[in-house]
Amino acid sequence: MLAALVVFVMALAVGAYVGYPLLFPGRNPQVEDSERREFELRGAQLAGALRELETDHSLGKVADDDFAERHARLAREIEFVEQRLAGAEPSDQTDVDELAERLVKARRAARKHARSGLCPGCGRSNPPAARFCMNCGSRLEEREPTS
Amino acid sequence: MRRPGTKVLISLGLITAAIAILVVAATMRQGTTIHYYTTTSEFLDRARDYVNKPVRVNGKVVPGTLERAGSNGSTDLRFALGDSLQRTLPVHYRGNAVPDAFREGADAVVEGVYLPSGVLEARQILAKCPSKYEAAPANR
Amino acid sequence: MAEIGHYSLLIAFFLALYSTIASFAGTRVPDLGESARRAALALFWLLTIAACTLVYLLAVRDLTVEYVARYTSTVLPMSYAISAFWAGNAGSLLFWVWLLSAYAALVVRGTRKSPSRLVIPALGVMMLIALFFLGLILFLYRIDPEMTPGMVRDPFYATLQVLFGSPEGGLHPACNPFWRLPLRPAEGLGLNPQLQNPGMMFHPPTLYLGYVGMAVPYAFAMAALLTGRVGNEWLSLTRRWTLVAWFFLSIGNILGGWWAYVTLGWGGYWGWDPVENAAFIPWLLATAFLHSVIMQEKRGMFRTWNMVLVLITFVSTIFGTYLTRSGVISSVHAFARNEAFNIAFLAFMAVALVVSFALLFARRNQLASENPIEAVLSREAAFLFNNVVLVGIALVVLFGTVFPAISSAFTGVQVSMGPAWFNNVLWPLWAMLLLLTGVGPVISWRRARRNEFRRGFAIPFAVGIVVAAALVLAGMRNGYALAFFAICAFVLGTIAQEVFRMLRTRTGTLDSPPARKAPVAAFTRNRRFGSYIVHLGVIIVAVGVTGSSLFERQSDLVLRQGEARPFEDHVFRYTSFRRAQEPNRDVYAAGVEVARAGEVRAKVEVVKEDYHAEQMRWTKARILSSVVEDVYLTLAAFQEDGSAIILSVRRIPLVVWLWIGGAVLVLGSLIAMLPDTRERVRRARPASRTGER
Repeated sequence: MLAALVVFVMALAVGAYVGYPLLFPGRNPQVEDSERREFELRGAQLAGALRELETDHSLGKVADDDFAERHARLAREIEFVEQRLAGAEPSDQTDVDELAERLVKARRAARKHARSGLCPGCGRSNPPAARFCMNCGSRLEEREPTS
Repeated sequence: MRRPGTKVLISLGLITAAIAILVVAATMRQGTTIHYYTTTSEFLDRARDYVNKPVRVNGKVVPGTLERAGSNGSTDLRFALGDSLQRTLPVHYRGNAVPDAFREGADAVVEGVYLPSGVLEARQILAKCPSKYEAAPANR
Repeated sequence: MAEIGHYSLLIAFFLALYSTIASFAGTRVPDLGESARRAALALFWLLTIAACTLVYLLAVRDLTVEYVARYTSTVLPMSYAISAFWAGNAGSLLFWVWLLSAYAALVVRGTRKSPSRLVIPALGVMMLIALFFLGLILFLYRIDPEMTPGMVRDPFYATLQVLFGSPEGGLHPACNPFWRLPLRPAEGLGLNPQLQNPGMMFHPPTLYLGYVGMAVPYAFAMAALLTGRVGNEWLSLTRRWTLVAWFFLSIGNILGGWWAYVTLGWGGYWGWDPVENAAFIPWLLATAFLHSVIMQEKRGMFRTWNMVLVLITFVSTIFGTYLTRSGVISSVHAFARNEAFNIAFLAFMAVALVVSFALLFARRNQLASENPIEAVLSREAAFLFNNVVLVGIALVVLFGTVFPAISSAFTGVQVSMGPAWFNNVLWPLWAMLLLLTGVGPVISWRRARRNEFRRGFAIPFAVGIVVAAALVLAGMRNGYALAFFAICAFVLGTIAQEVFRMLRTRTGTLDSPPARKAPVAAFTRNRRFGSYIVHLGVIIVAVGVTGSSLFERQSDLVLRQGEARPFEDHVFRYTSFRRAQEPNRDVYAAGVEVARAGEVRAKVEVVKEDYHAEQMRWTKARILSSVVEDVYLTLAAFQEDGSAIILSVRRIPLVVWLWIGGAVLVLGSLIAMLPDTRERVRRARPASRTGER
């Protein structure tokens, strides 16, 4: 009898707990500003990927031309994410996959007129997104606003 | 977009072929690696097929048949292996110590070569190992 | 008490059913999704109640419960009575589904703030799996001739009995741990003494944690296929889960080997037993998956392959559970005896395979690779080869495991595949894999140019050659051993070189002027650094395996009391004999003095034990360990009066390194799991970079 009572109480409790969001639809903790978090996470991933790439390059495992290309791509993606985070564009229904597609297109377009990245100090060529020369540390020319 | 390099495909093929060859070669080398595994009555049913072949026979040590000889580190055993049927298979074993679970009436797995004389010359005696997890299959 | 467990399982079953439906339906309806999340949490609590009930029943030895009576006895020590939770079928299925609900609950907690639209459908997939296991526990019955209707008063059961009972007997649950026996037996059957070992207390739970953990990446992969969001999202959400599963699978396999080594008394740690293989196959596949994931993240390649890998890894964990639980491999006759159980499991695996592959096929167009493999000498190709070899090994092991059963089913002649078969096939494959362990992390992406190749491999290659030459000079003639030690030295060389170069090289980040350049902070790159540690562990394990399996020596010494005999440079003296009675066993112990070069190295007791309730005799090994070799002693036989014993002596070189390497490997995977420090900083101050502008 006791067991039956315990079971009944358990079933009731579970039902109430699980049914709550349906009975009181308004009170659910909505995920705050979910798109923003999505971009934040994406930004963290991209930053990690960028550093991995830099490490690989400095260990001589990525050829220079390959490095420049992939670096440019990542840098542009990061820039895109940061623009979104800064609220540069009105938030529409863009999701990450779509974003990726757009980034690839943007990258192809951008590669055509990418900055030279040549250092005014020493003449070394730098990845397009670099702000400082990788060799001598001089400040590179101020970039133009993208896209 | 280019297709994957032919060289890569060739190397892949080589690795796959190597694995396949290793498996086939090991499986063909019966005797060292693969044994026929039977119960005693199955074995006796087609004993002639197994002459001079490596076998692994599973059965009970028939009570009253176990003779121990030998000394100084080597064990010398003669016994008969059987299961519920009355037919039995004589076994001779000489070698290292046998497992704990080996005794008259116990299940044993004998690995060795079946001699034309009708004796199973054992190379190894294994205690019938209880499965590590399930103590005994539910048979009630 | 048992009824509480039983009914919380029953509620859990319907809850899982609801949660599955709500998850799939609630992907687009936030309130329903929230309800599904809550259901997953509630499921965890319900199953926790059930699990606690079983633990309580085992602890108090409530022998009216069939499961308790079958796996414990009143004299069994408490810790082993509780570990009987996972000793039998019914308990381990409950344990499995409880772990799954725990993983699901953790996913729910961990993604509270995540916007990912994959979480809810992934939850649905996990709930579906839970549903299968709960159904198995609750609704799988066999006809038991000894059961008569009316024996059980329970209304739920009575209904089933009326609906599905047969004239041949009553229904008997096939694997319900809360089933009560009609009569209380006087004593339980007890736990197999070989399972009464600390290693066995931890081995199955860790293994199960690994098995079940693979359900998480699988669920997310399926969610990705279902929703069509097949980008890298599911990978980044599950990377850590895969590592967790791999971490536990590794511990499980190592503990299993260690358990076999210290308890089974034959001086080996791996016998290619089906049960061992069942744990090893998922580990191999999960290892392949961990590697191929990198290719998708970095280069957008192997995308279909990753889906296939996670799928077959998951199915292999189900298969592993099935193999260890059904006993079908040790005897084909077990199949018929527990037919419903076997069919249910095989059907579940088949359905999982078919449905997943169908989904994969439907999404094939979205899974095209972004880049081709350009050269044989490239990182991409090395990873591809690594995957092919790992999956190849897994298939070989699978073949060796199931071939005997299949062959006997078709030809009636049962064959058995011994360790020799596995070793013959696998030694060359291990060599290839080890070599790739060194090559993969060093070789250049896309195409290794000649000078890059030389820069990467000249030193390690030289190290390998030097080690091989030194071993030949030292008198080693075994070809396999030479090859393996040389390859191990080569890989060690690559790891050392990588770490050294990482510490020395400087990179500037793009936004910081080089004045602030610091050495590459290798130790903040947990993932990369962790992988080096894991590889180091693998190499140490390889050294241990090579030494112990190729250079073991064994001898049986017949010793009268007081007599001493030598084996190589050790002398063994039999000094004393002792018989003792413990509550559940008789103990026979022979004192042995081990001396080397006239000096006593150790005095040990080698022991045989007779367990009463279980009617089993068990030899316990005594092991003298050192970094060079283990001396492994067992009492092979003894005279009842203690006048003489046969002492079995094994000398097993380098085996300690197996456990050390295992620990290193596990530690490395822990490091790889840690979040990167930089990632943390960015999360804490997400807008900081924007603020700089």
